[in-house]
Amino acid sequence: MAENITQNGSSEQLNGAQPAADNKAADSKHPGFDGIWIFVFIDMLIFLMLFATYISERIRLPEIFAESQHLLTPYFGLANTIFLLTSSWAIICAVNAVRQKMAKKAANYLWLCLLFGGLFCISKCAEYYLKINAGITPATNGFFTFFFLITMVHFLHVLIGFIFVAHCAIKLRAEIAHDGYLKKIESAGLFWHFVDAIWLFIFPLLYLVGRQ
Amino acid sequence: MTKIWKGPTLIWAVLIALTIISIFSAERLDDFNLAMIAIFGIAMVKTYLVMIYYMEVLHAARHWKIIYLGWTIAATLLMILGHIGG
Repeated sequence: MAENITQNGSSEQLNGAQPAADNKAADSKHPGFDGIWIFVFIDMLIFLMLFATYISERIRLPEIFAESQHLLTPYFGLANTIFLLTSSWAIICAVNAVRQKMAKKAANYLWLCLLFGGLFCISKCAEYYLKINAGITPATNGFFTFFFLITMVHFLHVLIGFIFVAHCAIKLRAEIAHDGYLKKIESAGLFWHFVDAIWLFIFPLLYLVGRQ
Repeated sequence: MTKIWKGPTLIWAVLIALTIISIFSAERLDDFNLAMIAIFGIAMVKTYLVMIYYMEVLHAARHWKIIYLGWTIAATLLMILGHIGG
C-alpha cells in the first residue's frame, strides 16, 4: 500500500511529468527537503527527553500523578487524536494530488487539513480554559506542570505546522507548476505527520495510562 | 475512487480503530501492566503506520529509516519500562 502511495509520486518524476527544472529539487529520492528530516529528528529527541523527564517524575511521585490524571477528560484527548489523524490523512491526500498535478483536489485537501488542524487548536484552547477556570494551572502540582508543558510545546508545533500548511495552500495555484513546490508540500506534510505522531504518544501517556 | 486514495483512507480508518481500542483497553482492562502495555503497544503501531504510510519513511535514506523507526521503539520502551508496576 505504501508503494501505491509513493510509487505514484516517484513514477511521475521518472516519467518526466514534471518540468525538467524540477529534477534539481527532486534529486533527493525521499519526500521533502533534506533539512526537514534533520529538523524533525531534533524535535523528536526533544520530545523524547520531555517524556523521559515526565516519567522520572512520575516514578518519584506516583500518587500525585495518578490522582491528577483522573482530572483530565479523555474525550478531549480522543477528539484531538481524531482531529490530528484526519488532518494527517487530508495532507497526504493533498501531497498525492500535487504529485498528480491536480490543483483543485490538492487545494480542497489542504483546506480540509487546516480545518481539522483548526479544530484541534479550538479543542486544546477549550481544554486549557476549562482547566484554568477550575483552578488547575501549571503550578498546581508536578503532573500539571508537565501536562501544560508537554501539551503547550506540542501545541506550538501544531501552530507552526498550521502556518506552514496554510502557506502551501495559499501558494498552491501559483506554484504548483514551479520547481520545488512538491518538495515544499512534502516537507509541510512530513512536519504535520510528525506533530501527529508525537500526539499519538502524548495521548496515552497523559490521558489513558492509569485510568483503571 | 481511484486506487491511490484507498491507501491513506484505509490507514486512517485503521488508526481511528486502534485509537478506540486503546481507550477500550484503558477503561476495561483491570490489570494495570496489561492495559499499559496494550496502550503503548497500540501507540507504537499507530506511530509506525503514520511513519511508514504518511511520512513515507521507507522511501527515505537508510539512516533516516533506522533513526525514525528506532525512535518509535525507544519511546515505547521508555514509556512501558517507566510505568511497569504502576
